[in-house]
Amino acid sequence: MTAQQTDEGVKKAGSGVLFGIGATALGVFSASQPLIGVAFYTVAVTGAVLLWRKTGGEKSKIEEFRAASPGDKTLWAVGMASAIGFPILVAADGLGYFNWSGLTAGIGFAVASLYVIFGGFSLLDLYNEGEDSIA
Amino acid sequence: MLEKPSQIRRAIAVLVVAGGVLLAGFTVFEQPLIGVGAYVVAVSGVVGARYRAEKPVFDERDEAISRDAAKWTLMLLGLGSAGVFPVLTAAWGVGLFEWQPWLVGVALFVAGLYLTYGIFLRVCALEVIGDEKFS
Repeated sequence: MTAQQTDEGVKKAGSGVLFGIGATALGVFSASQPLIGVAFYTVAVTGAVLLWRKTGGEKSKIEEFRAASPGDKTLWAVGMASAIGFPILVAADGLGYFNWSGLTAGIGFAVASLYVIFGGFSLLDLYNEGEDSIA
Repeated sequence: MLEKPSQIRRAIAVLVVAGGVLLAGFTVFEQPLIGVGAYVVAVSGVVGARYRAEKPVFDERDEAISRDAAKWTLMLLGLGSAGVFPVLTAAWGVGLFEWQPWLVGVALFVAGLYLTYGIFLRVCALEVIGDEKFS
């Protein structure tokens, strides 16, 4: 039982690490070799999804994620990748290993816009739901 | 303090927004390491708040809001891209427009976003087929 739980934990952590590697690769390669970055990211994301599906520990959490719509999962995955990738890039910038180019800045602004739109729709929905519950 | 799920939800939202804005802001003003530090503090706050909470922080209503918001976001961005990028490519073809690096970054990000969406749609479709086979 404990061994099994540890196994689930390793798989879950592995899934997260795989995501982090994919996001980092996408960030690092996007400036010089975008196609290699995209290929790496695709493989890493697919691997992370498959590994995550093998975890059965917190059943409810898995069910929750599986029950989420593909759109929800997409924004979650991109959000997680950005939450890991961009701080790494910013830190690398601070340490002098990386310089922001127009391309990477464009990606950064696109990610920011995506979540501004998502936040806007969420607030709109929250407001509408509130109206419904009053009525 | 921070006992009710609604308070925790609000605190998490504030921390996520503040973390992202500080990370981007300090990067723009060329203090990336301070930005990363602030971001790490904000993310630790989010993880801590969720870990401390005894009751589930996000309920069905939040899931419904997130699902709708994700759907509208991907639809709006998809329609926008489907309209804008072919026009830009055509304008580039007749010499009226030059691709800027930041715009290439935006285009690559949009491609990556819908690639991820495609992977999740495929995985969900396979799950449905699998469920039908075994039921």
